[in-house]
Amino acid sequence: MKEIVRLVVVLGLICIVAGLTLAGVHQLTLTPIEYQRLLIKEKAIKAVLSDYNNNPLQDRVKLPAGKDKKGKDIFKNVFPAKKDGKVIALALDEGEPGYSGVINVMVGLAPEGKILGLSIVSHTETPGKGSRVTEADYTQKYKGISEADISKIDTISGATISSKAVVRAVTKAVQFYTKNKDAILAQMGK
Amino acid sequence: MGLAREFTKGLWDEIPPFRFVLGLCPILAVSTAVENGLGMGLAVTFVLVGSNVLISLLRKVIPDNVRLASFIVIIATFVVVVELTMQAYFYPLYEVLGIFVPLIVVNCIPLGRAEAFASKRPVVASALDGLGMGVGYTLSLVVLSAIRELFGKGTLLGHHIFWEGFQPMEFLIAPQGAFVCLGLMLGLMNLIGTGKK
Repeated sequence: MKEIVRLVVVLGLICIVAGLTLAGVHQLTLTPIEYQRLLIKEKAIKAVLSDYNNNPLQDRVKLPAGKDKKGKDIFKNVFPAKKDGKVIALALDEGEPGYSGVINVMVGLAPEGKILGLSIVSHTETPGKGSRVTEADYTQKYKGISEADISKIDTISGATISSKAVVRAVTKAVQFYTKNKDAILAQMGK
Repeated sequence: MGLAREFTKGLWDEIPPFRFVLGLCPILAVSTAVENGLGMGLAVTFVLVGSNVLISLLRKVIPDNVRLASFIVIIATFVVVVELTMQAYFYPLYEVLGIFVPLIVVNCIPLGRAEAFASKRPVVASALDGLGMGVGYTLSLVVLSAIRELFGKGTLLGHHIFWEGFQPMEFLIAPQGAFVCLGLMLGLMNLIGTGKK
């Protein structure tokens, strides 16, 4: 009997201490981790927007974007680029499954809805093939076009699935903006 | 055995990946660039030293039949601490290493050292053992990553080494290349031998 008590007590104590330690570390790292996750987008935002003097990350607006598979609300962040308080452009990110994993893109848009630029935020496509969607030669093709022309962009040969994923992601982003344009601009304070 | 020996044995004679042939899975997956190999090696070293020390301190307290369960809880706690710290302060590294950080829990080296050494030996020796094994592991990772990055991408630590127009052997960056490199290194180390006959 004494044996079993000892087993339970020792293992229980070890688990309790472990649990408390982890809870503590988790709390401590909560803010830095959230910031890091946003930082990743900052580089992409800088790549698609220019000539602004606000902080798009801090000024981001959140919009409801439906529900996920479990019924929880999902929100989309839209990042405004302002010059002297007036919105001159905005950026939002979107992800679509590519050849191996999700490709995340950041799309820069003019307030009227024209695409200003495209940047690939993250991907896990095949190096040398699908990864070529990150090349400037490809992303430049999206500059200045409207939603209707997205599907006309030439696919990278040898990287069809990856290219199509980018097309879908960009289209989704643009459509989200067009659908919620008024709400977004209102929240941004024009 | 002098205490210093507990440390140095992990660097050559008992180097985990090549002598014990342990902990190979993350080595293959993570060694695509020196930066990643180094990060992974340091994470494993931290876990090894931490868990070895704690388990050694508790070695007289933990009852035999819950030995493995206790070791795993302790190792897992250290691994999660490393994972959270990496996410908070070294996020790009965390993204590259991905699932291999939590997988350190089932990496045979921490559990193996806990069972074979830390549960039976005093704290300082256990700490040195963990440190030696960890550093040996890191060295193995760095050398393998250096080979794969240099000839597979033409860079080292992100800096271009070879001349313009050098066509890297992309095969080395893919999993197949990892196996080939590891096999060659293993064969080479067996050839050189331990020096003790």
